[in-house]
Parts: sequence; structure tokens; C-alpha cells
Amino acid sequence: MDEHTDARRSEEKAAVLAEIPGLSTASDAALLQLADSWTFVDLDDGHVCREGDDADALFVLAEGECDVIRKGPGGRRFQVARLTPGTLFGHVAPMTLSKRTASVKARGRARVLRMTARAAREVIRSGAPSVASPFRRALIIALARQLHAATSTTLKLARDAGRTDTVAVTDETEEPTMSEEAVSETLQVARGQL
Amino acid sequence: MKRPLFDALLSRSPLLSGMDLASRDRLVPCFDPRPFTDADRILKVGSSGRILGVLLEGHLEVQAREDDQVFTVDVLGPGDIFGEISFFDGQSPRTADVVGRDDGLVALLPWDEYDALARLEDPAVEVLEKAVLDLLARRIQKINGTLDDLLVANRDSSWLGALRRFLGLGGVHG
Repeated sequence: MDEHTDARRSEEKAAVLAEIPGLSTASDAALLQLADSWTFVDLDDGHVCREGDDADALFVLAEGECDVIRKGPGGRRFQVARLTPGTLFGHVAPMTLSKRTASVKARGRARVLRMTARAAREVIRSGAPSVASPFRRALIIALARQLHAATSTTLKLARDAGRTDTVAVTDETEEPTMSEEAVSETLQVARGQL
Repeated sequence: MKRPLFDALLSRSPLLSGMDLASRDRLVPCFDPRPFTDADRILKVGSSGRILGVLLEGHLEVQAREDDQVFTVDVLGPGDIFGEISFFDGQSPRTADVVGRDDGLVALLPWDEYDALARLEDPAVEVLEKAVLDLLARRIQKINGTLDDLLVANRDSSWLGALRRFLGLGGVHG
């Protein structure tokens, strides 16, 4: 690949990264530098990652659509989300050093940006401030959104399972009907004593 | 509460307790104490103020609104942080209220204070961002375990809807 093509490819990657919340305020120079840590991967109905695998990378969907698929009770597979361009995904497991919790598969042709978990940790730990700080902020935003969604879902599931029908769902003007003891016990169960 | 006591409480919070002394000494004075009482609204949905909160004493409810109803989507205890999405994004208006559940105390970091340090490339900024990342990662790990248990307990039609909300709300997954 010649120098001109390299430069154009870096600009394409930087443009994709600039769409991620937290990175949109990074300078052009910082985005171009960060872009060097990512590589384009083209897919045609292929898997980006598989549930249960070691998490060795994180991704951004650049073009096309991907399905998020998870095994349900009995081993059946369910599509649980559809990703659209500009979405950062696969970032939780590398940050928590855990296994993939879902598979991601392209719907037809798709293009993703891939960054190795090692490179991500390197940027977080010792990258230049102009690059590392926006990258850390982008990961914080993505992790916080994931955490809020998980917390909300956990509370609802706990309620559905009969473990916390006392979770407060009130009219704004009404007092919660649950006792403090019930709140405490409920949330310990629902939140895993966070 | 006197400032030295507030500083000591904040320094012992999970967000700051693991930091080196120099970073902690730079960051602690940037936080403002804010006592609260039951039903006191600390952050308001739709507001754009960039504030990172650390809960030091008491409990807070995170409340979302839907169809004129208010739902408690999380209850925060001492050591928890809040407001981090709007704080670090700046383009995301708040999607929930944060309201006092009892009497307590929060430490609030205004964006301007943080940004002033960031513009100077003060190492304390990097330490704070890493501490927030670590805190969020640990909380996600814990809640993922709880969520897995509950999914097994909910082997009915709500399973898929719950997973869709979990994986789809933020447009991200693990």
C-alpha cells in the first residue's frame, strides 16, 4: 500500500472514530494518531466475535449492520440487538478481562474497525494525553451506558422473578409503599451488593 | 460539615482511595460538598450541567420518567458515582433525575475544575479517568453475575425482552 493510500485509510478510520461519543471532541491529529491502532475488517455474513470466546479486541461498526446474538435457556440462539454504524461494541469484556457474553454477526456485507485489547490497554495506560484522555472518556461513556442498562434490567428482572415486587414504581406525588428493610433486602439481591 | 472532614471522607471513597497522594491532593479541592435531604433533587433530567458526583453518605435514587410515572432504576449507596455520562460526553443531556432518599452528602466535581486540570495535562486527570474506568468495570462485572442468575430465574418470554433492553439500550455489548 502506498503512502497516499495509507493516509486516506487513516482519515477514513478517524472519521469513523469521530462519531463515537467522547471522541467527537478529540483533535483531528489525535484521531489520526488513535486511528493507527485500529484496522478495518471486512465481513460478508461472518462473525465479528463469538459468545464464550476470550475477549482480545474491541470494535466499532463502520458500515453495514450486525446482529448481536445470545444463547438462551435450552441453547436456542436469539437476536437481542441490531448494531448500526458508529457503535462501539465488545468493549466490556476486554476491560473486565472476561469472556464474550454474546456473539456478533454481520448481516450481509459489513465493515468494522478492530483494536486489540492489548493496544487499548496500552493507550489507556500510557498513551499521549491528547489521545488517551478522549479514548478513556469514550470507554467511560460506553461502560456507564452499559452499566445503567444492566442495572435497570436487573431491577426489572428481579421484580418479574418475584424477588423484588417492592421496587419502587410510584406516581411522583406518592410515597413508595415499601419499607426500608424491604428496599435494602431487595436491592442487595438485585444489585449483587454493588 | 467542615472542609477538612469532607476532604477526609472524599479521600476515603473508592474513587479516590487508590490514587497516589499527589493526584488526590490535586483533585480533592476541586470537589464541592453538597448535603442533601430526602426527596432533594441533586441532578435533573434534561439538564446539561456537567457535574461528576461521588456519594459519600446516605442514599440516592436514580429516577427515570415514562408516561408521567417515575421509576426508580437504581439506588446508589456510599462510594457510588453518578452523572458520569453527561460529565464526560457533554452532548448527552441527563436522562434521569438523581434524588435524595434520606439525609446524606455528595461531593460534586464541576466540569470547569476538571477541564482546567485537563488543559494543563495534569497527571491527576489521567488518574481520575482510570479510576472511573476501573470503578465502572468492577460494577459491570458484579451486575453481570446478578443478571445471569436472574435470566435463569426468568425462563419465560421476558427473557428476550430483558436481553434486548440490556444489550440494546446503550447500543453496546460485552
